[in-house]
Amino acid sequence: MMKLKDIKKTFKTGSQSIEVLKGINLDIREGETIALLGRSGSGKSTLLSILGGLDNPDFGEVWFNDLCLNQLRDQELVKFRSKNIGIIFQQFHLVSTLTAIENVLLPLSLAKNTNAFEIATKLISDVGLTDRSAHLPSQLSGGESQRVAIARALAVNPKLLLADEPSGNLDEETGEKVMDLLFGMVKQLKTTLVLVTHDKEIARRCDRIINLEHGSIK
Amino acid sequence: MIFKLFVLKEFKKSSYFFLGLGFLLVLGLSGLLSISFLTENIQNNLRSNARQLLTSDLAITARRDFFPEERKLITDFFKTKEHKTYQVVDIYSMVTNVTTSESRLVEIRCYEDHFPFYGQITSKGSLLNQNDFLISKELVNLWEVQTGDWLKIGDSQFKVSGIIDSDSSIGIRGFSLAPRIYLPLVKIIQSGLLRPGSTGQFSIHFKLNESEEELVKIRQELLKLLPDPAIKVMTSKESSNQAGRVFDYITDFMSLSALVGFLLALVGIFYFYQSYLLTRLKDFSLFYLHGLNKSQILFGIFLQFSSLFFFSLFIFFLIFNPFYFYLRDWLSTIIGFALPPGLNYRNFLINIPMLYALSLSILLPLLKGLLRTPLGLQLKLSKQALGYFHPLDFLPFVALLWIVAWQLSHSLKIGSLFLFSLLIIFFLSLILIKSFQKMAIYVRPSRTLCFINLNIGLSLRNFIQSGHKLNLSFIALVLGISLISLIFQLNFLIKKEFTLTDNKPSLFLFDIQEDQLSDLKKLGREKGLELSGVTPLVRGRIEKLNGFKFSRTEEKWDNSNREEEIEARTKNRGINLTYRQSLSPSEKIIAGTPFPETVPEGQNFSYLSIEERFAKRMGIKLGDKIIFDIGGVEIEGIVRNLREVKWTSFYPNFFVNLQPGFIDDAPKTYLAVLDRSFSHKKIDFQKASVNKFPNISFIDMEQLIQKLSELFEKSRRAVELISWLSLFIGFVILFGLCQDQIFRRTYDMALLKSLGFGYFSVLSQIMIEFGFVFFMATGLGIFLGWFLGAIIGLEVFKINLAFDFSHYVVLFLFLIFLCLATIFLVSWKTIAKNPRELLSDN
Amino acid sequence: MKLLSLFFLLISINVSAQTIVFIGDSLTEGYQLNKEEAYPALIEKELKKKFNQVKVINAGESGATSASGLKKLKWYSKIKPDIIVLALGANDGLRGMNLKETEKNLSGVIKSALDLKMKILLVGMKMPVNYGEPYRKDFQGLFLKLSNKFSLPIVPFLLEGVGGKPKYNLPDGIHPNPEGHKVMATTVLKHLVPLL
Repeated sequence: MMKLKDIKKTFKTGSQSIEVLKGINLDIREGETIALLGRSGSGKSTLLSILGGLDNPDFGEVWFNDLCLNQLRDQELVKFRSKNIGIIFQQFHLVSTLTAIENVLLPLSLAKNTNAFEIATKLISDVGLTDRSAHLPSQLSGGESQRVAIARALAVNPKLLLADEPSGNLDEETGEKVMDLLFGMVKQLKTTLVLVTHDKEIARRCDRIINLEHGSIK
Repeated sequence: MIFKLFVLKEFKKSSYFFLGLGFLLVLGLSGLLSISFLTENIQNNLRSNARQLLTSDLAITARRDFFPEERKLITDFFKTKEHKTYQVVDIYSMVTNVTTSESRLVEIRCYEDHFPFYGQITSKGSLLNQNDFLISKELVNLWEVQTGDWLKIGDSQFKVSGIIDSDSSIGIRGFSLAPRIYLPLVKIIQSGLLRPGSTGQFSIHFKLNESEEELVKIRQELLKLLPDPAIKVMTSKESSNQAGRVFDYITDFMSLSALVGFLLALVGIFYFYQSYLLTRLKDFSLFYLHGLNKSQILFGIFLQFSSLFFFSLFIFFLIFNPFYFYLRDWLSTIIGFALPPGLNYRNFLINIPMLYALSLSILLPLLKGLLRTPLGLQLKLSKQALGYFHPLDFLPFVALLWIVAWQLSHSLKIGSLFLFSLLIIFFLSLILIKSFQKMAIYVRPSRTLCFINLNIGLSLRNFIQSGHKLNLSFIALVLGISLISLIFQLNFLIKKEFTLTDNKPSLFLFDIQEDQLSDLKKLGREKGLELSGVTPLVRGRIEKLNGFKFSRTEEKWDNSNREEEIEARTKNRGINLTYRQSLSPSEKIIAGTPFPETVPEGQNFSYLSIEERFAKRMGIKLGDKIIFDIGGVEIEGIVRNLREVKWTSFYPNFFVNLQPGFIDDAPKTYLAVLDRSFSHKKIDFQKASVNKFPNISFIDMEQLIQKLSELFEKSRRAVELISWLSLFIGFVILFGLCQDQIFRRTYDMALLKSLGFGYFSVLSQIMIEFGFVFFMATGLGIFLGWFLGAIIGLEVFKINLAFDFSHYVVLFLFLIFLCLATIFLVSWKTIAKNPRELLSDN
Repeated sequence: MKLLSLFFLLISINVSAQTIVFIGDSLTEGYQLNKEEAYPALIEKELKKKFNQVKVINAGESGATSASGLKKLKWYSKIKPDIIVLALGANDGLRGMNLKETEKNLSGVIKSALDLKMKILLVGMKMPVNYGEPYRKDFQGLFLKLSNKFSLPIVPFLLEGVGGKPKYNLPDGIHPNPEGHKVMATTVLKHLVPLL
């Protein structure tokens, strides 16, 4: 489904330039769950953003089926991403002024889905937060917030789900619960998952593990 | 250590923040401090104007010559005080032009050495010297006498040494009934015109080295020393007449405008300091955990703020000095005042503690909030929060603000009005924004994000959740806008009320006999001019009020009750009456109804229209019955209305108007005015009239009116300058508020973008939400500004408002545009930012 | 028969009412004073002691010049005054008016009054020293001239004993106070009584 061809990315910090990705080649099959493993600074977050079309590589190509993402115009990319890619951040970024269910409604409304409310309600129930659906993110615990984020990410039934250390900010018990939920729903919806983590335990739950070290796949 | 930690390190760390705050402080202070530098100078300017009119600091005057005992008392009194003195005697006399043998009446001002102490009388540019015999231009025009001609004054003849080209001393009366000439006193005595039997104004002038307050004391002492009611003691304060009081109002108003600017700055500081404390809360918690107790932390913040305050003060001082010296000339032309070369530091230094205290008091709620914050727990929380504010925390601020306003306006009434206005603005804004938020919750759909459309729906939700930060911004906005709208409105009013329009007369004519009127008008037309304001004057006396005799209060000719003396005079003297059907352009009925069109058959009384202040002085009310004695004939009148007269129009107006048809046949004279547009013909006209109608008197108003309106114009411009400053501060605050709001939405905006919202979408959401808030704030602000302006205009300036709708519409649109432009400028770049940053926040 | 007609004559003298109109300026009006304190009212009070039917009208008007005299006379001629006390001219002088005009105006008033068969008491005034000797002389002389021309009784100077004396004047130094008016009343009365 997705193909990364010789992806290179360099970051400039002041006078220094760091080559974060040094030529990545990657194939992702539909329905796969992949773990991107590596230490901090190995470039995994950068790779994830390139996968999600949030960032452009300096060199190389990103293919989604027969669409070259990094050649798309900004508007088209945004549109594409909103329909096909779901993203879960480490910091459970929810829109602070919307309630849990409204956050899930967000991508659905954007896609002009006529069943938005029903789908959102179901998803909220799937992540077990029906009684918290009218609460604002400031009123939710870390775990609850992340669960809402998952529901939101899956709302438009994306083909690809990217998750950047989803349990990174949670305690062990909650984190485990969240991961269980994530894997469960991904399996249920047959979504392709690319998961960035430094936790080997979590990585092992995926179909494939890719080790990233100093910008290259080991 | 605390200083190092809280001041030096913090300034370095959050330098951007403190620079911004400092800038705001400098701006806010600049208005008030500039004024404190300058009001005293402006007031001195006005006072020196007054001194120039009087020509001295203090004058003892009487309509008779001083007795030797009186002179001795005066000399002894001033022996112990450093002083300079001269006498001035003003007399009227008939002088003869030796060449033509014509005689005419002139006012002779007899002066001694050193006259005048203040101001100047110049001839051909050179100052009056003790041997000069100068004549006024008026005399030259009316009599065709020149420098070098001989005039016979009394028994002597004198040669005219020059023609006056500038005379800053209008004199005690304000205008003269005859052209003026200046002659040394010794020469007048020589001429024999000053001996027993002479009448005139005798004055002894003093130049003293005393303060205003001391002069007042000296005056009181002199009045006690010389109890004869014939003797008056005047200081420059008294001689500056009604105009002085209005100028005081204007300078006070200026101070209040500047206070508004400072207040806006303080509101901004409160807002931003709150954000700052929030961001630093984690570090403070760390300090706390490492042994610093709360009071030390609070002290640290106190030091921090104080350092900032005084540093800003220092910067202001640093900038202002060179700024002032380089731009003084340019500023002088703008305001119209000659600004002094030196700055008055006394006022500046006096105001600082007051402003410092006021600034600290706005910090107090924040410090109290900090005190209530559980610092130990902050690090555990995912999101920090400051402790709550209690309304009572703001009480010191409100109280100090009241005191400052009181001090700056020199009036408890005005200071209280100011504070009252602020509180109204505050509470109304709060109520409004909260109501709207409640309404928004009510209209929010539960099953969809869209409200009309998705963008508006999201804006709505943003608005609902915006919390008290937005409330504060809203209040600040309404405050700024209403105060600015208020300032501009009062500005506009003052301009309208006091500028010289073409309707101000240049010449005032009186004692026109009935049978001379048509011939006079004809003469006017021959000279190419039209007389206006032709009004009959009938002399009468108020005999009875509601059946009670109008009697004089017991004579109390002692000096401490001069007010009562004036009151007595007003109650008992004869009165000038007129009759008119409709009001003159400068009159307006404020109570009662206009005269009926016709007088019904058999009505044996006349309706009366009384000027409101005169009515108050005399105790006359609507419906009262007054009996007049008009040359032995009794006329009855019933008060039908009270009216307001704009005396500054200098139009012939009377305290009491009767209906036509009652005193029309009584012996009368006429008044008339000559409009400014004919001013170039007035000399010609006067000359011709004097020959044909020698009994008609002319008073030249032009100079007097010109001087007054110039002074008003200057004050108005100074006020405007301050208003612009406050507007600028308001704008800076607006900018800062928008920046802060946008900054705190950066994450949400980036998130929305990453979810697929386009740039335009996110921008619309911002514009819709803020646009709505701006719309409400501007609407409420302008309304409140108008409302408060109406009250202040009426209470303080006694001006009735004219509601010029178009002005407000323009102001409204302009302000909204300004606000939207600001939010756009602040946000467009942020919105355009790449959401990638979300992922890189490790 | 002769005794009877004499008796009737005597009665008629005592029974007839006399109206006196004082035409003047602020000095006559009683500037800043109550009407009762001005000298015409004081004169009335005094006259009423001796003569029953005497009525005094105070037609004094502050600021009046001789130019207003004729109109005033015409106005009051309605009530058919018996005696006119003419005390105008001071303002003419103070304003430095051409004395020929003043003479003309006053002559006009006198002629009209005489035509209407009224008795006239002319009241003379003086100008303050500072107006200069020529003018003062001319001014004072004017009244004498009129008195001679029309054979009128004249009060030489209304403010005799009052002018320039602080105790008889208001603080402005120009207008007499109630005490001053008493003196003025005495001055005028002296010349008025013979006309009654």
